[in-house]
Amino acid sequence: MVRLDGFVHGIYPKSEKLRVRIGRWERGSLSADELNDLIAEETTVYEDLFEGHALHTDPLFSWYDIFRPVVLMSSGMDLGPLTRFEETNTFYRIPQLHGPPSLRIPPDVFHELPENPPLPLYHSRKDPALFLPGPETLFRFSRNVGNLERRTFLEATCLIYAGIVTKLKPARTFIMERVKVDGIALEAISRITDPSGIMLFTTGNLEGNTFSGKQHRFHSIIVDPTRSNLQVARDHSTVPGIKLVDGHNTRMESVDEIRKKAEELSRGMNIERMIVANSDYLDFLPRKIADQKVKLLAGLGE
Amino acid sequence: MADKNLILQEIGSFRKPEYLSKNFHQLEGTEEFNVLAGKATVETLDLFRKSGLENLGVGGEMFRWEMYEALANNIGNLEFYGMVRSFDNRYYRKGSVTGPVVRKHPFHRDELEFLLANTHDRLKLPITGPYTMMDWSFNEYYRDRRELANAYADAINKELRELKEIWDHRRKGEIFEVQIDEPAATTHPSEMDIVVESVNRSFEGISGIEPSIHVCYSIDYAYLYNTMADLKVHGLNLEFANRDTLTLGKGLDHRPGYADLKEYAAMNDTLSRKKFMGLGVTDVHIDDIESVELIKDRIETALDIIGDPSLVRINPDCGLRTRSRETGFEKLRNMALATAAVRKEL
Repeated sequence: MVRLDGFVHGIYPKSEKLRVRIGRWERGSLSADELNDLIAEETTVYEDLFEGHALHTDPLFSWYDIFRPVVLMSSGMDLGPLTRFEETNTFYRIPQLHGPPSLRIPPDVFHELPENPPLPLYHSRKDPALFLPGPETLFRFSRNVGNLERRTFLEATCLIYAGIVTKLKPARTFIMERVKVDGIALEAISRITDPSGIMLFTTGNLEGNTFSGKQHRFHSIIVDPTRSNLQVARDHSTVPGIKLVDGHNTRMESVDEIRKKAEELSRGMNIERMIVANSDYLDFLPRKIADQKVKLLAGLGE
Repeated sequence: MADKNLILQEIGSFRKPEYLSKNFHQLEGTEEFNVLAGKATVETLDLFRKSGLENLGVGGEMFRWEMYEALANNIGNLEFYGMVRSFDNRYYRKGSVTGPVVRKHPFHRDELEFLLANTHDRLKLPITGPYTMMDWSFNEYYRDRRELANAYADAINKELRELKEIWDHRRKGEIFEVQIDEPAATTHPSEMDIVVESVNRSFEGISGIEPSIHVCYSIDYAYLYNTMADLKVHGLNLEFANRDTLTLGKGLDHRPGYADLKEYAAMNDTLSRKKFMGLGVTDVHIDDIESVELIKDRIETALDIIGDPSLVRINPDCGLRTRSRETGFEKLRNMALATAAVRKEL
């Protein structure tokens, strides 16, 4: 029987207390320092949900959207207007690309940002996987006002990411690609850090030849749940991952349902260990439901 | 006699007076609430009249807090687990459908009865559409999004049948104007067939009404225009001013926000029964009061494309609830003054 490890990634829904305090900070009646302290406290509350089980990223309580802090920390990019995020009822400030980006503010120290809670980027204390928006996704979800060449942008962005990883030294780096990636993007991503520490979140149907010919294996490639995707993930990563917990629906999955689905998908593939992840970050759900989904994923390995 | 060209209408919501908004949720469902919502409605109808509006809608939706909850709070098997983020630190309540969608209580009966008892003005009832209700709900029960949208459509159809009876009781022989609000209509382009099916189902079997659809902040109105032949509505009330500039000038070189109208006009030309266009001419998301001249430029640019002024109605982009009552009034007044100036030259 395949061993399943739960994994929770991305922006996590905030508690009511944190929402109220951020509102106060936005109105100027709470200092950025005080807000930063509260975000650290709330991050601890979030990590306690796992009780030591299941890998996770930082809950990113200080990220207003999955691109914003990265954009605000870098030169060569700024924020455009509020824009619908994919086909959801949520919105993000579309990044505007003016020139090859470079890091201008360190990620790990307190720093006030305009139109976003202050840095640091992460508040976890339990060595989580480090979350970064996929460079290809950042490019595709932006307005390329400077007519940057894609390869130039991807390489410059991955250089920023390499700087962040070098500074923070996480055991794992989680890269969220919400669009299809090709060989050029994969090359850039594999230079962020040792690929054996990278967890790559992919979207859509993967083609084996995109990954073949590479010298490296990723730690994990997390895929949409089809057998052909899982096969690519098995061939090119140490622990293949699969999205089996819906980040867009309040319906609760059960452990049995997940186990059954995982067994069906991996039948005959000789996979001993598999990561089970949320299909999207859980900030699309109410906090109460997200907490239940975390407990479910944390309990999978037991 | 009322002019049939460039009818001046509002779209839906208007900022509530503080005496109503500050205790809205605490009072909702009580007799005191009905008194305060009624008072606010009368005041808003009066404000609309003074601004020059000809169709007064429902007096700014004083009986409703928000378009999703107005229906959701009256539907069975819809559970609320908490707030969901829209953007930054802004949140909304998104319900989860956990069983069959059933209309537990009427959605807008009190509001319509109050209006019919208190005014003889031309009215238009906005109601949140089935596709948007589906898209803004979690689906834990139905097989797919189509089934859920159609379930909402059935609940809306039941509501509209009852409202039509109430309407006929007071205004027999007069057309009942109903605007179905579908801000989510074009957010999933591959689902336009679900939009058409569920909207049509909402109006099915109800005669003596003038159905229209309101869509705003669309990624591309072409998705909507392409459904015009199948969508059983008499008109589209859309947002345009938000995508336009604030500088003066006529023609699409100066009015880029209205470029889409060419596609609408081309599609309309193919229809045996033409659909009117409710033209958004004032941006509800900015405090700038667009000048009479600017609005006139917008209307005339649209008329150059559409041709027949009886096919054009004039309205704000969306409900004005996000602006103060004073700003909202000034925007409506300039809209009416600009329309009057255009009519003189027709």
